[in-house]
Amino acid sequence: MTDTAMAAPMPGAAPGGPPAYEATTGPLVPTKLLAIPAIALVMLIAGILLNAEWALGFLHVGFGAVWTGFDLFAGFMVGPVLKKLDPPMRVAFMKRYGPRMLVVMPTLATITLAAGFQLARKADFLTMSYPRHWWLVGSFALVGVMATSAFAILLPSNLQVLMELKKPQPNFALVGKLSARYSTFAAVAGVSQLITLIIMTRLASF
Amino acid sequence: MTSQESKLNPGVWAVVSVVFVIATVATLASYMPKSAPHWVELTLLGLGALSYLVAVVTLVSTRVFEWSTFLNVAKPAFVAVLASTGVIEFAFLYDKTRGFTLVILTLGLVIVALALPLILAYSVARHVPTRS
Repeated sequence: MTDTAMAAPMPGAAPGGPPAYEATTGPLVPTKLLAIPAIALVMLIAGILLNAEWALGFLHVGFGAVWTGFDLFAGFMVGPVLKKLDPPMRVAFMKRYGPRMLVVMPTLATITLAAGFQLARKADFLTMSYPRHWWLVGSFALVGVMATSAFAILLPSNLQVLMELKKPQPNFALVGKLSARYSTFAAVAGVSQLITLIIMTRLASF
Repeated sequence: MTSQESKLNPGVWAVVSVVFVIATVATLASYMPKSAPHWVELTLLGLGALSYLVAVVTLVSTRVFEWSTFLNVAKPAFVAVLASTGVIEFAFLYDKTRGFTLVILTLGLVIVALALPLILAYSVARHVPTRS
């Protein structure tokens, strides 16, 4: 199991001394969590094969709404709280939060984008003429910003934290720095998602 | 990060390659339903491929590095990315995307599928002290 018990003050801590640390053991991501991307990918393939507007719409809007909500919640609710927690509590939180985010966020992004592309093709948004086409170009630019921040910062930061927590003596300063960076860029992604929502609702109203 | 490590490390080059792929796809989409000039797409994708090659070269030339950690992260990451890019490629084929556009999109996905595991594995392995 990735989740190991850890509380503050931690068991085994010497009185007045630094708290004992219990390193994470087992796989980085609990195997049972892999059911989430597996089910989601099956749903996506079924949606593409069905090529039905409601199925693609559900996958795009449903998964996109959850993705936006998670990003906003992580960036504006969890992030500021996390930054104010004591390092042991922050570590305990990241041990449980990190593996879930590592599995859920890329899954949400893949399903939303793939279903959205299919939906745009089916609804003829891709072949829309200019100046309306600018809305589409704008959405692609935002996807570029979100993808770059996800691939360059969010995913690596999350993975680095989880790998650091597997060490017998993790660098808590590094964990704190990476967690703060993760929360900041989750907020950037959340704001980008809100702008995408404006573009999407405008596109849907043409 | 070690003091000897350049700011333009393999991870940064791999991110640059992904950015070029995103720019290629965005350019392609911005010209739809017409075709974007082939030279623009080929240049952007070529720069993406070149950046990835630079990433690989700088990675291989890193003398002090925890390769076992790198591979432990890169392998599962590659499988996960392959699943995602595979579904996207399936969607392109199912949509009857053919010709030059399919080639560009497929090559873009190949670069992304190779670059993402490198970014993830490098960003983890560079913080692991070498055993030697």
